[in-house]
Amino acid sequence: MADRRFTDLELERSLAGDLSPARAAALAAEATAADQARLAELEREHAEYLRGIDVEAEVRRIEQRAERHRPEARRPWWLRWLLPIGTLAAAAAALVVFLQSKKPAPPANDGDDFQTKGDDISLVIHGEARQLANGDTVTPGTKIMFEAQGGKPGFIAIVGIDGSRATTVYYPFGAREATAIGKDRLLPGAIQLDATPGDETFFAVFSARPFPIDTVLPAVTGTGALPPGIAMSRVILHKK
Amino acid sequence: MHGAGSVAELYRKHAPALHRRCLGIVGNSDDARDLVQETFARYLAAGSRFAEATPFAVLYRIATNASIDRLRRRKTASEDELDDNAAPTDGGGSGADPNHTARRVDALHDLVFLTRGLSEEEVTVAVLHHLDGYTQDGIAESLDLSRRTVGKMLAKFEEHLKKRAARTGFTAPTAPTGMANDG
Repeated sequence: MADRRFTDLELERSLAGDLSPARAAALAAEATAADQARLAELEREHAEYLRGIDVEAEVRRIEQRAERHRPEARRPWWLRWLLPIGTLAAAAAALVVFLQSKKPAPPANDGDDFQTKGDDISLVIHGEARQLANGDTVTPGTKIMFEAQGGKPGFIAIVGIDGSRATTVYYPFGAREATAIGKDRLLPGAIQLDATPGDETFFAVFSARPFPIDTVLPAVTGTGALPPGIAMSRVILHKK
Repeated sequence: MHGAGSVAELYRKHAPALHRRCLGIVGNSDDARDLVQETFARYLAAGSRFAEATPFAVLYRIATNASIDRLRRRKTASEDELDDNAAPTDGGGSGADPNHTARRVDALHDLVFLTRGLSEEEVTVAVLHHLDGYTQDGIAESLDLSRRTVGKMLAKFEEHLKKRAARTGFTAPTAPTGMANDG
């Protein structure tokens, strides 16, 4: 890194036009000869990489893969209610039996969230100016942050399902595995609600052990039960 | 949400850097190209609703984590060795040093093991610091984070490392040393 003032990552962001205006100005004014040589080298590498790729074909493959990441989006919403009724009923019955055998009924919650099982987790959603309650109405473009309240260490994922029935893993973003949660229960990052019409439901899914997020999607989409040892809390926001 | 044209534009802008990121971790160009596809697919499936960062920052985070996940699965499935061809991605031309490459492979082994359970952003920061040798200032400037945030994330990683080592008896020869020394 001798004589370098800018990291490769910053140089690559510069090539992508993604550098902040302040850093772009700094790069223009302060780049050393070594920085400039590395920038030119990266530019050549980028061009060489793209020459070996059929971008249009690659984009088609990416879009096909993206579809596989949102399986619910391909099914009409009403079909979900026709096919899995038996499974859903069985799962609900099993859940009731499990809860009754495990402990007395949990105390009534404050109505701001729905806890599927126990008191391991409670999802709180913060809007830009206030905490949002279950059933609140929000507008597209609203930025929100998630807080996962609960006293136990473990692993968490935040999953949303929107009005088109598309599911999205919001935290950890796009991941397949839940991530560890520590004492800081306000999760990093914010999301901006899009314009998809209809209610958007957010789920905090928690377990003391790591779990693949795929295994909880049936419970999130209402087509199956939660695996054992996993708790879930839900908040619905109405979009107008 | 994204038209094919805009996806193609996004790809042309960011795919080369993402490929270099993935290649530096998995050490295999075909795997890296597949991971770039996977990165864009996850990004598109999420609907680009993440307001806190630029597309590059989000894509870079996904690519780093997807690459580490790939190595974890590779090790879990077959106990394969990590690829010794894992190429340095930064540092301005130190890639020919065999000691550097050996240290890098060791660091990869350790990071794959030690970052399990961390958030995506924490994994990204840990990889940049301990694998790529970025200073805290360099990470802060590269990812538009405050230096304090980077420091907190690395401190959390160190804490995570200690707990994991205590639980498993693992002794990390390279991760705590890193390759950066900005204090």
